[in-house]
Amino acid sequence: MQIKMKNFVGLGFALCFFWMVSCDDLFEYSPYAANVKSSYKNLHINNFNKLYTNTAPKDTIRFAVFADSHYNYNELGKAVEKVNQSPEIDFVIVNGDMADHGYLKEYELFHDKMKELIVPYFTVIGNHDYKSNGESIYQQMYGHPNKFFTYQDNSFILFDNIFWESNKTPNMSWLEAQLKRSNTSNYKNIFVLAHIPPFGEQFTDEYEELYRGLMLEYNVNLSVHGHLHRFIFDDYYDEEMNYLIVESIMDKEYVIITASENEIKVEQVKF
Amino acid sequence: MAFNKGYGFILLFIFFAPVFLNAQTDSTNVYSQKAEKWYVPDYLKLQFAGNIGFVSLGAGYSWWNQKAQSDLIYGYVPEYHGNARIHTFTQKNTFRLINFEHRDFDFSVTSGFSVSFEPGQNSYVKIPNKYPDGYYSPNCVYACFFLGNKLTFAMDKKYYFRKLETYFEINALADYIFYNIIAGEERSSKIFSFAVGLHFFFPDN
Repeated sequence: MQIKMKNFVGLGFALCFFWMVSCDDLFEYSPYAANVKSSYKNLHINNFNKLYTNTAPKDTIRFAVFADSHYNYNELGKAVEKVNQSPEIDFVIVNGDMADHGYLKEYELFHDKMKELIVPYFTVIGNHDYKSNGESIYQQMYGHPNKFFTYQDNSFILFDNIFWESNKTPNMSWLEAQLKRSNTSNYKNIFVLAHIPPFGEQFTDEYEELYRGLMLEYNVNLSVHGHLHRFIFDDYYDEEMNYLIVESIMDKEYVIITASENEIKVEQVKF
Repeated sequence: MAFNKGYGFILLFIFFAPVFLNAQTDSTNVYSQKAEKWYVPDYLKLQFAGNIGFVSLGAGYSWWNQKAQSDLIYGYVPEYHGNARIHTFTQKNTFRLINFEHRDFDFSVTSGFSVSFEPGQNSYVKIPNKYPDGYYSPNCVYACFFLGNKLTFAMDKKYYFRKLETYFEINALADYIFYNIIAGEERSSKIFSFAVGLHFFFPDN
């Protein structure tokens, strides 16, 4: 009888264990761990493939910009639903701070919502995304934080301009090289997307001047940012160069940018 | 987290160690008096996973008439498993909610919390001076909550250790629980993960 009881308990636990060890994802060693699962790796490559599949030439493009979702997965999920109801949107750019502590779990929960998007999405790294081992996680999931791509003759420069958390200064020569390349190729519009606006607290006066000068020199059409958790869209320095700051997703808002050769329209979407 | 199946067999062995070690029936002995010197720990602790390290080693005390256990634990995540080397120091508290006595073992349902400290590279005890006041709160400390169960076996007198406990827990970081609460219907079950461990009780003095 005694042996039978032991066997019964043992069998129960053995079954539990075999179930556990046959699945991924059941054991976690630290919130700071950066071992990204294969299904979350190199998401930008799949998204670029998706963007360039079956695209007929068109004059006007539309894309949505999200910013600063942090841990607000409810609002993020609602924003994704809203974008999915707008079939004319080509893609989404998330302008930084998709994590809060830089935990792997935060990145995973973020992607779990974003993968519900019908259209592809691209990311800009934010200051919170650098915290803990966030930089390593970001690179495994989304590749290098500095990215350049073109879509329907529009140039997009996704720029890492985090100073403090990255313990480095932004790579301004890379930015200038992409701007030069965009200018000589005669794209309809040049968009620069970077998390912190040049008048944000992390920029030194020297870098603010440098950034501002590059925007003017290379005729950038729109410099898009997040970080401030409020909406601003104006010619900040009064020199015919528009800066757009996107409100945080946590405040139930994102923007849609519609761009053609002659016009860029910015629309606030509240949900 | 990627999980090598080979570890499953090691875990299986750890969890069923009492059976292999021929744990004997002597339930009157299971909860006997602790060591006379208050500072001598009651047991050694070995834990696998549970957000406090890949492998964690510590020592602990039983208190509140065996209804509570408190541990101090050091946990390590090697680069192979975390893509970063992570050292964690944890203070963990487990409370017995329900206890069933069987002649071969005691079975308890437990719950508790732990507080961990990780002196990492980009996680801060005190926020560096380059940040304005209030820019971040310190992010090197986190708390976990867990629900679990444990089996307690008296050991045969031929072994050094008096009794052996095996436990299994489901846990989540307090931050993740908070995220889930504010996520409403967008909440995720992925915030939960598992831990298993062993307590080796020292002999009475």
